[in-house]
Amino acid sequence: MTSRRAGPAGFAAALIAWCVIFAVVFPIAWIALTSIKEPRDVYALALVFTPTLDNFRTVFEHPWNLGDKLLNSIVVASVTVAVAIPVGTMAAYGFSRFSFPGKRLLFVLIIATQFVPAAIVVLPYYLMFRELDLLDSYAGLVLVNLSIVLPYAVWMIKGFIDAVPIEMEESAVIDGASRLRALREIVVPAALPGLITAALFCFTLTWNEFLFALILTKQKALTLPVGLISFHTERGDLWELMAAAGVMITLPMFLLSLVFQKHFINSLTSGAVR
Amino acid sequence: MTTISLRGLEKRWGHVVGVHPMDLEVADREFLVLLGPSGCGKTTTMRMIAGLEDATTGDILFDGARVNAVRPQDRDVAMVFQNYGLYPHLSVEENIAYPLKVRNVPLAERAARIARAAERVELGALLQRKPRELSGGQRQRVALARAIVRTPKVFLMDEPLSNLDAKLRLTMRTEIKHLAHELGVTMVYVTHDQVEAMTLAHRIVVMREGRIEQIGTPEEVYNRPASTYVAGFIGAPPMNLIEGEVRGGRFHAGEFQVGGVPEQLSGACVLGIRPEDMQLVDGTGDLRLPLYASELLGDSRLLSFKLAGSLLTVRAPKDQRAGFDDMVSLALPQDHRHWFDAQTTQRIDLSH
Repeated sequence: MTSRRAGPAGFAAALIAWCVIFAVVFPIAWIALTSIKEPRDVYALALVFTPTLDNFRTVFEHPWNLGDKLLNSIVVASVTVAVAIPVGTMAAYGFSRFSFPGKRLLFVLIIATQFVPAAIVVLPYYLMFRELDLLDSYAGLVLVNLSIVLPYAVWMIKGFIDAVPIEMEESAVIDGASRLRALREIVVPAALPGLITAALFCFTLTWNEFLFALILTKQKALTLPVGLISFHTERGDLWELMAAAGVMITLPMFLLSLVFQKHFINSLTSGAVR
Repeated sequence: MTTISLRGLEKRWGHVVGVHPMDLEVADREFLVLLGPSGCGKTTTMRMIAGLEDATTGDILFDGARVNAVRPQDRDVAMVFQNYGLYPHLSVEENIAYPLKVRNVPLAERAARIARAAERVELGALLQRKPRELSGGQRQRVALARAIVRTPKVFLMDEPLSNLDAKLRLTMRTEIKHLAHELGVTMVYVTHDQVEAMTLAHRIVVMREGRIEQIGTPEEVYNRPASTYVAGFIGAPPMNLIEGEVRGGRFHAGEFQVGGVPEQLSGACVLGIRPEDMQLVDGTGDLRLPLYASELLGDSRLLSFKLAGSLLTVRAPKDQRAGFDDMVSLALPQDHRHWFDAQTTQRIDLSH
């Protein structure tokens, strides 16, 4: 630590830094604290209270059934990622390694699909899904999430594949591997930290997706973010339950990030040392 | 038994020409070196042989059979890349095993062949390491082992030594030469280093801007360079090339002149003479010049002189004591003189 005398500028910087930290951390801390409060303590803003885990029990019981929604979210996010990463990898590989007419335009168009506000396309989706009988189904939600997640996956993964030296792949081909085999056995392992980063990103995006899930599901395929609204009842907002559900939404992502943090950091620095 | 034939082989990217139509025959078990500066088309030529690059026109034949349409993985070639192209997530052993794994060689045989290949390049103790834990020279050996672990029809090497430090390059060069002899395979080797070309090759193909400038044994290329370009590329230091004019049986370059010029010659010419082919003499000799600089190399000494605006380099005995501006007399032996047409830069053949 440097023990520099803090001038007015240093003080201002520190103040801003603390403000930012407060702004980011406070809501999360508030949710975490609220989730273990008795209903009567919620509005007290007291830091001293008797913690309870009752809220967590309540949200998993009837009529909230958070477990169903948790399962739905896990299924939808997992299947989405399980499809998005292989498909995204192949598309990204194509963009990275082949040249074809209109390549650059196509690459921009892929991400341009995300420039359209979700609120605009959600109605056509609703009508389409009603015809195809995909409303309130896993398949429908996965499809919609893929349309959101895939463009980002392609963009992210292309960067990581670009960083894999072409010679590695050519070596594999000379060694007798087919192009697909070289991709599977050489390129993918070499780009793995990047793929994991992309997978985590796609998972987060799907996990937190709200609007499409709200409109396109009713009961069977309800996801966690949509489930949160149900705590907004005629009897008022059940903040302590909402907070408990919020923790249940955040916690898995938090744990997932912890597990894969190593790869995250790897991928962020891998370009620097080559 | 593998011969390679290139017939009218050409590579273009749109209007950019990488390799002009070329013909080349590589004999069975020949060590052929493609030599030239970067951008001369040597690597492109090799990549077309490997199948990593499609030929725009022309044919590639292995043992007389056209392989243009054969995919690289089915051409049965091995290749060592300049930056080795190792698989970073696999151990040394797995790297070497990969060509065998892809070809479904039985496990027991795989182990034996890996051991033999690793032993040949002295990697035995490092088999469990990952490439990033190896030095440049060791990585190079892994790349070599991976290439020799099977017996391909053709061996291709793309500047395999250029990423190594000078000392290691020397040892690896010797290793490669011995390996090529031991394996008895057809080898095509790409380099920009003329010493590598001279020391390794049975025949050298000197390339320039996508064309073959000369094909010949190292002796031929050294003793009878086909053009000033080849003359200036081969040899360390390269051949002195003096531009001038032949008038009245004498070669004039600036204020200097040399006698004893063959009578077939006239007009603008380039006189080439190697630093090692000139002699310091007492008396007047062919040229008498003030010493510009003297550099001791250890085994010999390089003396430089200013001649008609360019430097003339002479290899002299190491105990030569001439100092700056001392007058030195040089003999340019007739049978070591090379004559080139100043216009075409091609060698003027005086043997007939």
